[in-house]
Amino acid sequence: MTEHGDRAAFLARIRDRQGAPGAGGPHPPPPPPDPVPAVGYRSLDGLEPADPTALLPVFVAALRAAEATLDVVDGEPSDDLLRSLVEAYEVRSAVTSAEPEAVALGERLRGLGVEVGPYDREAAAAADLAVTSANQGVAATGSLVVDSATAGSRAVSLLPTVHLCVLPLDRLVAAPSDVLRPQQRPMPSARVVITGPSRTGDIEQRLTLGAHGPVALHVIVTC
Amino acid sequence: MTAEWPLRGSTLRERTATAVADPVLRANVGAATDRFRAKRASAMARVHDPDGLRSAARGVRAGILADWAATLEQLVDNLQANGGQVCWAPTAADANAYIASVARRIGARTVVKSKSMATEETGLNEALAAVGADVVETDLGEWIIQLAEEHPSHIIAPAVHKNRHQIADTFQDRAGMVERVTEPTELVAFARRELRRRFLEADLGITGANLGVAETGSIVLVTNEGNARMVTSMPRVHIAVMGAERVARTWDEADLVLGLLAKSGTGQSLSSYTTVISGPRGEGEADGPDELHLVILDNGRSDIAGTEFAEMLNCIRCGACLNVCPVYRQTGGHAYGWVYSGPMGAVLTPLLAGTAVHDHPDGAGHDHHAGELANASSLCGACMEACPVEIPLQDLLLGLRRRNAEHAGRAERALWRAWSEAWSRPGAFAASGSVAGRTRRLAPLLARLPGARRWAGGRAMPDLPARTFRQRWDAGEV
Repeated sequence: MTEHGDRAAFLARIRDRQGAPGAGGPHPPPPPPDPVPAVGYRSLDGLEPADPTALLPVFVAALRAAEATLDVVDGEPSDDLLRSLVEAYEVRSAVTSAEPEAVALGERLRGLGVEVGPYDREAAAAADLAVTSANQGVAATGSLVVDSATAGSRAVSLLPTVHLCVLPLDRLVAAPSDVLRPQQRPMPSARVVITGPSRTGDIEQRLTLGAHGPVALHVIVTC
Repeated sequence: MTAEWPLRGSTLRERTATAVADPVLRANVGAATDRFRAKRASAMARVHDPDGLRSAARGVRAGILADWAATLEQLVDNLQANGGQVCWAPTAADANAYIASVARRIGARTVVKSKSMATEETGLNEALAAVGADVVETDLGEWIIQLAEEHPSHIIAPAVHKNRHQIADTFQDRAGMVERVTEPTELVAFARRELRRRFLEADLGITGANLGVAETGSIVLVTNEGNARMVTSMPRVHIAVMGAERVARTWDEADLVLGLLAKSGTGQSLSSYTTVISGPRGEGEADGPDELHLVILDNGRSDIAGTEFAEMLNCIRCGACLNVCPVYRQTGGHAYGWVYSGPMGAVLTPLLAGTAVHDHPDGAGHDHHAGELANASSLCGACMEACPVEIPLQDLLLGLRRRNAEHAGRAERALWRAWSEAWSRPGAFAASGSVAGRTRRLAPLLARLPGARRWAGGRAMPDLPARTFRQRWDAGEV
C-alpha cells in the first residue's frame, strides 16, 4: 500500500479555502510573474554563459569562497599533482564512484600506492579519499552536481574524509538555474548540488569544516 | 526530550524577563544575529535586483498556494510513480501515529533525524520514544539541544544561546565525553565521531522537507553539515515530514525559492548540500533506502488559507526575520514559548494555536497565551524587508492585535470606546489637552503608581507645556 490517510478529505479541506487573497492591507501581493525570473549573479556580468573557458575564473573564485581548493590542468593530471594531493591529505585508502573519470583516476592513485576500491558503505566510511566526477559544475556558486545514478551511490562523495572531484571543463555551466531548471528525466533517486566541504557554524558561529561529510573538497578541472 | 513547551504555563512577559536576565544568551544571540545579517547583506549584494527577486518570489508563492491542492496531488502522484509512499496527515497525532507504525513494523531501534521544524511541531521524538526507538538528532545544534533537554532558540541555529563551555558541559554530562575539550573544532570532531556511529547503525532516517517539487515528485533538503545526506543514504527506510504548504509546481519556481533561501538564512550563495530526493534506492545503486515515505502535514495550515493571514503560508523558514527583529535580538527564541520564534513565530504560533498547539503531546491546551505573541514586535517592518518572499509580517501582526482586541475584556473595550467618543467631540478634545497640561507635574508620580510603574519604568516622560496649542492660537501667539 503506497498511500495512507484520506487524500480526498485532506485536499477538499484545502480546496475549500485556497486561492482567497491574503492580507489586502497596505502591502498587496503582486501577481505571479511569468516567466519566473532567475537569480542573476553579478560575477557573470559580461560573460558568454555557454563558454566554459570564460566561466572558469568565476568558478575558481566561487569554489575558493566556498572553502574548496582546486587545480586546473591541461589534459590529465600529472603524477606529481596526484602525489602532492596524496601527501597533503595523507591518503592511504580511497573509494571511487562508478563514473569512468573517477575509475580512471582511481587506477592512477593505485599506481601511487593508494589502496583503491569501488564504493561500499564500510569501505567508504573508513576511506581517506572519495574520488568522483560530476554531471556539471556551476560557475557562479562554485557548485558540483553529483547524482546517485551516474555515481552509483548516494554517499560515495559523503563518507570519506576528503572528496576529490575531477571535472571536465566542458561541463561548466553559468548559474544554479542552468542545472535546477532543466532537470533531466527520469530523475535519479538522489541528486546533490555540492557547494564546498561539509560545515557547521553551530558552536559560537565559528565556521568549522567537516561536520559530518568531507572536511575538504578538492576539484581538478581538466581542460 | 520530554521538556514541556513553556507556552502553556507562562506569559510572554515572564519568558522575556527570564531571557533578558541571561547575559550569555543575550551576548550570543546578539553576536549571531549581527553575523547572519551582515552575511545576508553581502550575499544579496552579489546578485542583481534582490528586491525584485523577493517581490517575484512573493508572487510565485502566492500563485502556488492559489493552486495548492492540485500541486499536492501532482507531487504525490509523481512521487508514487517514482516508488515513494505517502501519508496524508491532517493532525500532528496522525503524522506521529503513522511514523510510529512504520518504526514498529521495521523494528527500528535507532532513528536518526536531520533538522525538521515540522517534527518539533508534532512532538515526534516523544512519540517515537514511546514505541521504544532511540531517537538521535543529527544536526549539531539540534543534538546539543536534545542532550541538554532544551528547545531550539533559532530556527536555523538551534543552539545559538549556548557558548562553547556550556556545550562542553553538556557533552561531558550527557554524551560521555571523557576528556574535556572546549575548542569548537574539537567539539565538532567529538560530535562527528559519535554521530557517525549512529548514522551507520540506524534503521530509520527522518528528515523534514525544505520543498516538494510537484513536476518530478521530488523532495529538496538543504543542509550544511551533510546530516540530511547521511539520514537519506544510510538507514533502510527514509521518512520525510513536510508541512503541506512547502511545495512548488515547477523547477522554475523551486529554483527561485532555493536561490533566495540560503542567501537569506546563512548568507551563503548556496548551502553546502542541496539534495533532491526523487525516490527510494534506484536500480544498480549501492546505497539508499528501500522505502521512501512522505508525510504531508496539515496541522492547522489549511485553516490559515483564505484568511487575511494567508500569506504566512508563503514562509520558507529561512530565519532572516529573526536576525533583523529588534525584539528577537534582545530575547532569543525561548521567549516565544513554542517551536517558532521571531516575527514569523509571533504570527504563525497564534495562527496554529487553534489546532497545532492544542494537539501537541505536551497537552498545551486552552490555557496557552499564544495570542499575546503579536505584542512581541515594535512593528518597525524590518522583518518584511528581510523576508525573501516579502511576507507583510507587520501587517499580519497588526491583524492579530486587532483580533486580540476584538476578544478583549469588557472593561478595556469600554475604556477605549469612551476615549474614542471623547476625542470625537471638539469640546471634550480641548478639555483633555488642558487637563494634560495641568497634570504635567504629576507625570513623575505616575512612575510610582502600582498599575503604571512597569509601563513608566523604561520610559522618559514628555515635558508637556502649560498651555495647549489651541490656547496659544487663540491668544495670537502662534
